[in-house]
Amino acid sequence: MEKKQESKEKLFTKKELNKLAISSAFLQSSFNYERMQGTGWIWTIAPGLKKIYKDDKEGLKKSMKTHITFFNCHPFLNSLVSGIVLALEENKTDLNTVQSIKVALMGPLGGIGDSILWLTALPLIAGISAQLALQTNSIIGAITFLVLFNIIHLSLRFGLIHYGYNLGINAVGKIKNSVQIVNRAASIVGLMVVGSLVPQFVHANLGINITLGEMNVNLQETLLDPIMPGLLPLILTYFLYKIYKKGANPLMIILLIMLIGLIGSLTGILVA
Amino acid sequence: MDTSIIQIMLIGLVTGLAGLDILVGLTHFHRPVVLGPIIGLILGDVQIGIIVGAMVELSLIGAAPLAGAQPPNVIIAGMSAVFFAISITNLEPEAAVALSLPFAALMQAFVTLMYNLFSVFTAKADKAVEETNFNKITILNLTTLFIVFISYFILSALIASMGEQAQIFVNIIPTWILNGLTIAGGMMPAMGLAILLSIMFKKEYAPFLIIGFVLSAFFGVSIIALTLIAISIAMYDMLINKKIDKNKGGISNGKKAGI
Repeated sequence: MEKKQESKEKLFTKKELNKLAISSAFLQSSFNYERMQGTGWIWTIAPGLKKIYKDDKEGLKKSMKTHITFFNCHPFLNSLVSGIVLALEENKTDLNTVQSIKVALMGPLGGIGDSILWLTALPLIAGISAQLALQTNSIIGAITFLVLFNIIHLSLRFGLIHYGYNLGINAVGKIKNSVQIVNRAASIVGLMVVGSLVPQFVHANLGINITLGEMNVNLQETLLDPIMPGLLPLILTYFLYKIYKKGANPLMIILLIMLIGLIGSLTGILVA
Repeated sequence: MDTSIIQIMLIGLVTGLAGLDILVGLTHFHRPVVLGPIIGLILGDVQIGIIVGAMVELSLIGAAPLAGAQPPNVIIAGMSAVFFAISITNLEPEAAVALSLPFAALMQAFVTLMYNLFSVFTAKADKAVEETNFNKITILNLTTLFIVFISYFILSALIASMGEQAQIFVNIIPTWILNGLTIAGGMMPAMGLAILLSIMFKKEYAPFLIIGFVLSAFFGVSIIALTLIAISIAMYDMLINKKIDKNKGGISNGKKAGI
């Protein structure tokens, strides 16, 4: 059996990766309810994609289409995804695989980030620093906060992009040798994550109350939720998927959703 | 105490930058424990800035942007609490914090408005991708960041110039519109996920999509547990397929041998 040469030149230098780590801090530019961090995500890896695709316009376009989609991750840990994705892109991994791996990573990283960073590290450091500020009556509190918090923040942001990139480079040989197997595995994990994101991120609740005998009951709580929680989000997502596939204009749909929200609120049919 | 034009502008500038920091950069100087002393410095009383900033920090300690949901706005809370504590004589720090909360809620509503508005902008991003034009994406992102900056700038400058009078703005957007935008914001990710599905989905993977949905909707399984289950299923699937391939290979080899 011939062994694949893995000691191939890496496209990105350490310095370039550090620059990409800085741009990874711009993940939440244009944050919006539709794609969440999607528009920011493509921006954070743009310099990398440019370098990888150079003059290959068609390839770049296909890749950009992969990266302008829904993305939501913890805004520090996204640099790990950047590193892995750039390594895979650099080695011209099948874009479906890249997309699935990206989605499979963003979900759990978002969850880990929420629980460890947003709900543990931040309140802990903020609490200690605020107490310190009140006790000493000086800016030591503020300085302590900035220093402690950013040691964690920056070491994750810079550390993870290198780690992710090397991880991706090392794994890419295996991935390429078994494209179908990896693609299938990544698709399974990716789609399970997407399935779980539907009830987690999409919210639609009926506000309609009906009178049953002497009781005034809410249709959502007494009828829909017992049948299936997240039923409306599921129907909505499926419906939008169908009409998008048929060529409906996303912009029109977004404006329509806003209109439905406003009418639903005014009439009380929908509640937040 | 009268606030000078320069002070108002400086407050607008710092608060605007803090508004950017909560989205991009994320050094977290926008947290009240840091922003408090800075606003205090601009208004000439760092001491009160430190104390009130720390108090706002402690009262909003759990407020972090989880999964895109907006907590009361920590920046406007910190900025306005410090401003009130310094500009209104004999105002207790606790009262200043309480006074700041309606403004934090107002900014929260404004942020909801912006995230709806920016959803409309994604169509422009799609167009930029069609043209493989990264510059357009840069311009788009800088535009939205500018809108964020200017929103924080204006609200904080209004509070700094009008004081408590600025409360007239709190009811500027009718509740039904605000609720409507919140409802719309809740439904909006369905579109993003629909586009994602149009790329990723194949019929053969439908069962996994359903399993993911059921685990989350019915059982509220955490995303980490869900991923581990997903990896287990993927591993099992891989092993079974390998076995099937092997058996196939065995049979065909047998046939060959038979011939």
